[in-house]
Amino acid sequence: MAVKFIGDSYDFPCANRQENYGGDMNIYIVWDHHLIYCAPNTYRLPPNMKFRDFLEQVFAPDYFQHPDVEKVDWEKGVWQMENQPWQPDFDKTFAENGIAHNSFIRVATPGLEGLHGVGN
Amino acid sequence: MAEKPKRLNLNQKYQLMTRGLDWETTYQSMDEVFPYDRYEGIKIKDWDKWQDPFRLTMDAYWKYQAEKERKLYAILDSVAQNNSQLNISDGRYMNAVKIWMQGVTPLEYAAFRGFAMLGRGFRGAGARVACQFQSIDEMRHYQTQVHAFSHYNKYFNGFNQYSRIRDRAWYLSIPKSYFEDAVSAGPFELITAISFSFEYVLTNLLFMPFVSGAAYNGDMATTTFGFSAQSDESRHMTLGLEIIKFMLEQHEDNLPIVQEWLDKWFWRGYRLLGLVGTMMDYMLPKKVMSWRQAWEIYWEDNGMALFNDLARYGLRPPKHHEAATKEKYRITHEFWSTIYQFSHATALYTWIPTTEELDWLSAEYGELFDTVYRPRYEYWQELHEKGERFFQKRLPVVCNVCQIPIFHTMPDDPLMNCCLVSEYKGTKHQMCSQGCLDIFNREPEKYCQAYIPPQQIYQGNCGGASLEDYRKWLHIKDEETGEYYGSEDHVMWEQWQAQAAKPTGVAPAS
Ligand SMILES: [Fe+2]
Ligand SMILES: [Fe+2]
Ligand SMILES: [Zn+2]
Repeated sequence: MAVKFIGDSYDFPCANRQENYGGDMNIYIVWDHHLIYCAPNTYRLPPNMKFRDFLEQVFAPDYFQHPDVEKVDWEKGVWQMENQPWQPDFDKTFAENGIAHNSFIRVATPGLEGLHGVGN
Repeated sequence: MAEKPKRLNLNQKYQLMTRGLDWETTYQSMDEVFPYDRYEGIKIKDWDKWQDPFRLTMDAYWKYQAEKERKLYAILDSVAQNNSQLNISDGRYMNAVKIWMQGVTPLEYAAFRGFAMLGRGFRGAGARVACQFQSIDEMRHYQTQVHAFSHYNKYFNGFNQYSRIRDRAWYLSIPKSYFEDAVSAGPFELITAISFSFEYVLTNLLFMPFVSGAAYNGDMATTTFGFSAQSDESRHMTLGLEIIKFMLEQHEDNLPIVQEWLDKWFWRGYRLLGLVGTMMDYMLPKKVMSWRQAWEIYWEDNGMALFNDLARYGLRPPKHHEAATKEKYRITHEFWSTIYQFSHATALYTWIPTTEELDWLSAEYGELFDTVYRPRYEYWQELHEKGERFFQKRLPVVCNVCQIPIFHTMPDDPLMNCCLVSEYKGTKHQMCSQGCLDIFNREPEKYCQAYIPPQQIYQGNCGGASLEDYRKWLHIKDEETGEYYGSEDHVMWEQWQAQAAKPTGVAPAS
């Protein structure tokens, strides 16, 4: 199915295309089973940022009101990209890890199942 | 001898004053005069078969509506004169009214515009006339609501920027995008979306909670306009049912198109109603019924019965309704958790329910509530008491179709966020559910253009990326946002309560 329209064409650019980010990119990431933070987070970041720096300096601090953040070891995480199994290299950049504009990453940390052990 | 002029009976009058004024154009072809009613693929063989769902002429309409208007404004005047704001159940209640004013009232205005287009768009005069009346109804709903709420605006925060934030605030892009999706479709899809899917199928889930909720919570202004709009709504519902039957009776090719629209608009309507359910479960200090119960009565019983009836036209119940039913135990708690943690970027206040209210939620929602959401609220309450009120500082991923932050969880796993991806023109798009993913994949050319607030903020189009800049761009003051307890509304409400409790003084000596 495609959109039905009047006129000769119906062709518009995507509103969130990468060129709107001035060299940066928009990425999405969620720490599963920590649902007091309700949704995956979204970031605007440069592609040459090291994945470890992102996790330690940007991502983890966003969960500062969650007691699990003190205990987390990201290297023991179970990672997914676009809901498929995936293994990042922590000392490489986003770009080197194949993380592109609008990538969706999820990480589960077995043993850290959120507050009360019920995903909160 | 002059004969006494005969009076027309109602039916003759209706025929002459509506369809009798219509004609087949000859200087220009009908296709050029009505350029929009064929491109969607709906085939109409004979517009004369349209059954007018209500026989109303303009003079009768004006007379009837003027009568209602007189009564309504008399009551609104007495609401103002009698300081009726003092009679509401609790200061928190006013946030339900703010949600209405910010989210729903602008939809009335959008509906006025949409139906004005339909009142010009169809080549059948019967359908055009019905849409013209509805257009005027919707304008009137918009005006009477603004008038009714203007009284509350004198006392409470959160009302004064309603039209600006309708275009700018992230949470109001949910209702806004819903309606803009409909009005940017063709006329048959628009009327299916609004008149049938929303006003006929889902209306009880919108109207009942707000209007009964207002009545239960001592809000005379909202109750009064609600009742005044009710007779219009019953006309709108009949129009919704008529258009579906008409399309299906006119041509067998129409069935698959109508079915796709029902699939789409059921899911979009359901997602939008999550906001209403949250208001019912959390913003009404005096409860009407829970979202779960309303869903069971109005969808699982009444909605399914309707689709059983429609089966004779070949229609089946909308896709993914089973997923909606699975979500009935969680959707409002997930939504409240989201508004709670992002309320510093809304013109609303939020709070943790009282112990009594938590008990009511436990009774209504059972085990899942007791194991997941109740402990979550208790944890947030502890943080609040320590002076660390929980707010989310980072922007959330938002669904590219329903525009709701992706707090939604997987149909069979209430502890896992559901975030589905579809790539179009080299750009990935995220959706909250299979329902929204299907809608995106059916018309990616349309949804790839969606204005998604966090993306726009990061692209630099919303006044800046910090919360302060964003709030400034919304024209919302810090004091109008965030936690209810300790807010300006709360402090004022407590003062009113204290004054009411004081003895009125000693009677003057005679
Ligand atoms: Fe209306
Ligand atoms: Fe209506
Ligand atoms: Zn969605």
